[in-house]
Amino acid sequence: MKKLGVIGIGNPLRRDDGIGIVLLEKLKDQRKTLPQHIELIDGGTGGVKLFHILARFNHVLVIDAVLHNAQPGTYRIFTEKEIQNIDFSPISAHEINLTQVIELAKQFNELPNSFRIFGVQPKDVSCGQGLSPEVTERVEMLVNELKKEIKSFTAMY
Amino acid sequence: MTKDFSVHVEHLTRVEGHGNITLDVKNGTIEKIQWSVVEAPRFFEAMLRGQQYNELRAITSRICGICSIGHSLASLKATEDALNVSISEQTQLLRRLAIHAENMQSHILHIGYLAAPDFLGVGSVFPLLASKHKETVLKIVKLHRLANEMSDLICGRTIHPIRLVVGGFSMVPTKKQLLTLQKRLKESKPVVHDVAKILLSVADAIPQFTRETEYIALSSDDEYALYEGVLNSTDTGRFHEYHNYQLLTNEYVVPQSTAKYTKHNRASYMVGALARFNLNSKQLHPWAQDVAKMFNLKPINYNPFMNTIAQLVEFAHSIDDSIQLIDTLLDRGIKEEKPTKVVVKSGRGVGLVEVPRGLLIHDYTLNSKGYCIKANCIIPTNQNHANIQQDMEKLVPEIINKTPKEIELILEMLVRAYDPCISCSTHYLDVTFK
Repeated sequence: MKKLGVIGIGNPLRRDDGIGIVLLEKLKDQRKTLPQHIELIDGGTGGVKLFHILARFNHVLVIDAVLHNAQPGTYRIFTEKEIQNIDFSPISAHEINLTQVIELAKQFNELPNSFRIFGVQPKDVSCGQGLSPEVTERVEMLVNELKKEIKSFTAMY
Repeated sequence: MTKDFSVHVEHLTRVEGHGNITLDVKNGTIEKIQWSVVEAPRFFEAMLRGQQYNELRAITSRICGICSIGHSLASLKATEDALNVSISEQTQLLRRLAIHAENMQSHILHIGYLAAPDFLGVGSVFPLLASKHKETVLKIVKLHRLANEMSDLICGRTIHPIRLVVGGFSMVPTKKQLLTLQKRLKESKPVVHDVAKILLSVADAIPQFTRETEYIALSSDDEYALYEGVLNSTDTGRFHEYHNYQLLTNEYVVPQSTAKYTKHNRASYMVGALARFNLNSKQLHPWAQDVAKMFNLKPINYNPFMNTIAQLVEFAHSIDDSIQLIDTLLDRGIKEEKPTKVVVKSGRGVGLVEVPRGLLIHDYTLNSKGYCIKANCIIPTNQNHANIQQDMEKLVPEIINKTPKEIELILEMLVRAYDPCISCSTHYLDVTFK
């Protein structure tokens, strides 16, 4: 069975920037209800290290905070082709962003066969722990949608 | 030269985070040179207050994706110091392996992805992939991947380690895994040698600039100090009172920056690979000393641009020292062991480690229930800010006859040579000439 890597990205010390990690932890709690052949990975503020993680998988679903001009806590699925236009993680504290990681993976022919991003609109990315109330109240909905997305993704292969 | 400069560059790339360089030249006279960094309030320390002792490591490891192992180790050492927790020899050895893994991945990232493009005359690593240097990049990627996988094996994952806990490890690698890692480390040596030769062939691109300054790092009688050692200075020698590290770091506030600066015996000091090399080079493994000789790197080297070469030397040292540490671990027999039991009490603890960019200090005060009531973290990059400023003040008059674009590139290279990890401490970088 080909493997799907589900990678949460972000910094929980930057409030909603940590939504990718929060959702990943929720998925870990519900691991038994998810397909066996997936791996859940906390990518943190991984930068270029993510390039090596991507190389391990045939399929990847990234969970991240993405500015897409929507209501805080709402999500959108982005395909690999759409990522050039994404404003990733509003904190540009990493030496290389996800767009560049994907470009690097492409150059080395190590990009997963399929790649999607589950992008959640943040409201507050200031310093501190805990999500904003607007994002917090949508966490359960987001987890359910993520599970659907994982199932539809795994159904493809 | 009798011209005015007016150049503005936003978001200097290939450093971790952001800072500002301002250079004002009017009628050929330098009116202002300023390196400034804008730091958010020291929120990490505020976040630690009210947290229990066993949560502090997990929080501080999130400060930075690049140095998460280093922050973890400084945090654990501070916590264990406060609680009088001793650790086993196996934990000591594994932590030393962890610090090598991080040093290797961070150093090769800086050498290969961030600094090499300067030496090879391109803007970033991407054009290198489409050039005759693709094979070099492939070698660098191979080394970077090995260092990441080593972190995974020892710490549980590459980014934000999970196996490092107060008093020990929650899980340890198997004998078979360690043997596989050791084999791969041995196999990587020719690749490192190739990368060193390539860097040597473009070493002319390293600016010949020197400025005498003070270098501070940990030193040990037993080894090239990374995990354990006493504070040491090229100016004043060893300083044993680690609980009074403030007497050495002397943090102070400057108007142009919200990041705190530090100084000791002079207006500034430098920490990092070059500082460690300058203080401890005799303790490097012989192969690492050979790499230093290739570049004619000898202590005390006063060229900050050589920090990148010192990182390469340390990379070689980390490989050989890791091979040796694995031998020791296997001789002793790697075994599952529970972390040392903690008896909660009040107290203050200080943890010092050498991380890729230099000396890192965590200082915690815990109450009787083990909750943190006070925290102080001194990040390597902040200790280097004043030294970067002093370097710029000496460097700019020496290169003032070059074009603004050339000056801009050399200043960018200077900042990059320090491999600043501004995301640990600060959040902005752009370059302004006017």
